[in-house]
Amino acid sequence: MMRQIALYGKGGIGKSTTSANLSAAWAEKGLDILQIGCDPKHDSTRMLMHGRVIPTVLDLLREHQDDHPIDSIIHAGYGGVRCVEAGGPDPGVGCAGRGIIATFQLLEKLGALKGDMIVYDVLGDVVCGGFAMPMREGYAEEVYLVTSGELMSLYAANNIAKAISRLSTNKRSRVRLGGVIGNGKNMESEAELIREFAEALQSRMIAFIPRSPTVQQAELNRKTVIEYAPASDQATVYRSCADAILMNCEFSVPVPLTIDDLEALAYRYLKE
Amino acid sequence: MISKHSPTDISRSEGCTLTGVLSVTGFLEDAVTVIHGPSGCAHHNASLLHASLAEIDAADLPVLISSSLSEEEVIFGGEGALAHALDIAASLDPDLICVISTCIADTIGDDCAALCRQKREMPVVYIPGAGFLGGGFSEGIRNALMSLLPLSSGADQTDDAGVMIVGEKNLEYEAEENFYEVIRLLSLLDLNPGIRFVRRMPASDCTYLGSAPVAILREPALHQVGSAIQDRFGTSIIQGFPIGPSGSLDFIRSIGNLYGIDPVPAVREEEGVLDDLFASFCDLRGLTVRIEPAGANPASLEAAQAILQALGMKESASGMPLPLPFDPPVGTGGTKRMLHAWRRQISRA
Repeated sequence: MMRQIALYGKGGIGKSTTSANLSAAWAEKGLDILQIGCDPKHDSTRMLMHGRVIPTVLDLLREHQDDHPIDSIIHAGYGGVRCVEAGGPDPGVGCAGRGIIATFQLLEKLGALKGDMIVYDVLGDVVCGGFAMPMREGYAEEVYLVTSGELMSLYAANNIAKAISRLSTNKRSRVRLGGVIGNGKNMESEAELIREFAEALQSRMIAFIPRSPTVQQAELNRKTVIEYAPASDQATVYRSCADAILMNCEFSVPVPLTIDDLEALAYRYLKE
Repeated sequence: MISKHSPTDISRSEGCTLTGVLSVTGFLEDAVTVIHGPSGCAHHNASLLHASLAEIDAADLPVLISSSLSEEEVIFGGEGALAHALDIAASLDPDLICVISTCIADTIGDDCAALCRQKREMPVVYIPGAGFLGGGFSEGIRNALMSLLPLSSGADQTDDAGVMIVGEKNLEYEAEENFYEVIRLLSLLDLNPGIRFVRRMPASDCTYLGSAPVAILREPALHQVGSAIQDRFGTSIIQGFPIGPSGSLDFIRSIGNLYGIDPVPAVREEEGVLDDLFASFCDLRGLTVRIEPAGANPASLEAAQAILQALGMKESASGMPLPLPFDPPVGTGGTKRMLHAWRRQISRA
């Protein structure tokens, strides 16, 4: 059965790096993966595409009003991962959220939403209904929050948990929190903090990805870690994370923290 | 932030802001109106204007241009579409271009005002028309009038500045009758009307808005516009058209005082007109009637009570129900039309 997962988290926290490496790890197992970048920055799939910036769905929609061949939208990347970038308007104009909705409508119309797994890599915060689109009925049923131990990152993850909680009140909604992926920033006791945060949400930390220079080296070589350094410890971490998600069958409706509780949690781990 | 209104509130005064704006700009001669929104917004309002104008046998539809926003512009921004629509409008060489924003344009945050500030051969005025921001039809009228005011610096004067009429309800069936009633009352003081801001008004006359020493608002709801005119040009303001029989007399006194004209002879003459009017409806004297106050405009209700009193009619819950006009009766002429409506109702009973 096809699984659809969405990765959400604060901007710059490493969602795209994590998504691309997970997709690469799954592709290595022979799974048919579709990764959709849902961010106007359209750089979600760049490492899978060896640094090539692929044309976005919205650019194609704009340039070719009627004819949208599927191969102009979906581009094969590392390991056969099918890569799509939604794209969006230039900063400061238009409505990027509507762009996500238009992208999804086109992908559905073209019958492109298929494979063993679809990975939605969504921008920093659920700023409007358009960016909640991947969580709506018929799309991702599993959401993974990517966060570091920094307060603002936890804050953004908590906000997304609120969105999941709200959307799941709709009886037809099947979206659930699959877990929290810790993406380390070299903070002391960071994994423990993220684990406690995840448990406070009534979920769990499904993986912790420590900070590693291998990630930056791979990116400078325009590759995922899985491709650039397949035998590295960091590649093992990503594969473990990918396996944990594949095996995951614990999904929950999160209980978001109050801002006071969130701050108190972060404060307890604060080291002078 | 503007909160949600009651979904059951469908009264006309709370209708579409864009329609309210168009009920003003559509009556500016030699002007073109650009509606920055989906083409349906322009089409719907053009149809409404067409129907309203047909009722008063006016065939000259205003020139409306839509920026025809589609999903593409919603996603990527609609300022390019507006610029294109402005180019088309400018190619028609109008004296004035009015740009009205719609709900979707303001939702996506297009900077319409900035585009309107770009230099063109004719003035371009930006008028907010997005109804989701809380305004209704009346807000649209106010927005339009307020946005047009800066076209006059106050320095340009006409030699023949009469009394300015502000904010006539152009889609009202009796707009002309109400205007002529005001003219008639002004004429009792040997005064003439000047600029009709805005009804069948040349766009170029916007530069003369500061000329009139006195301006009459169509209704008190336009007080913000009145204050702006007063502050900007030093114009004296009459807060509304005269309502009912006593309104006519008060109106004459107020205008006379503003112009330093003794109003007594004019008031006496109008009292005579009113006496003649009530005498011609003597068949209604002493009848027992009922006026339904629920939902009625308070000014209409007040005028009706005054007429009942003048004709010695009695009010009772079991009396014959009498209709009230949607808009309060303007002056003696409006009173006469209201009495005719009552007589028709009574004769049908």
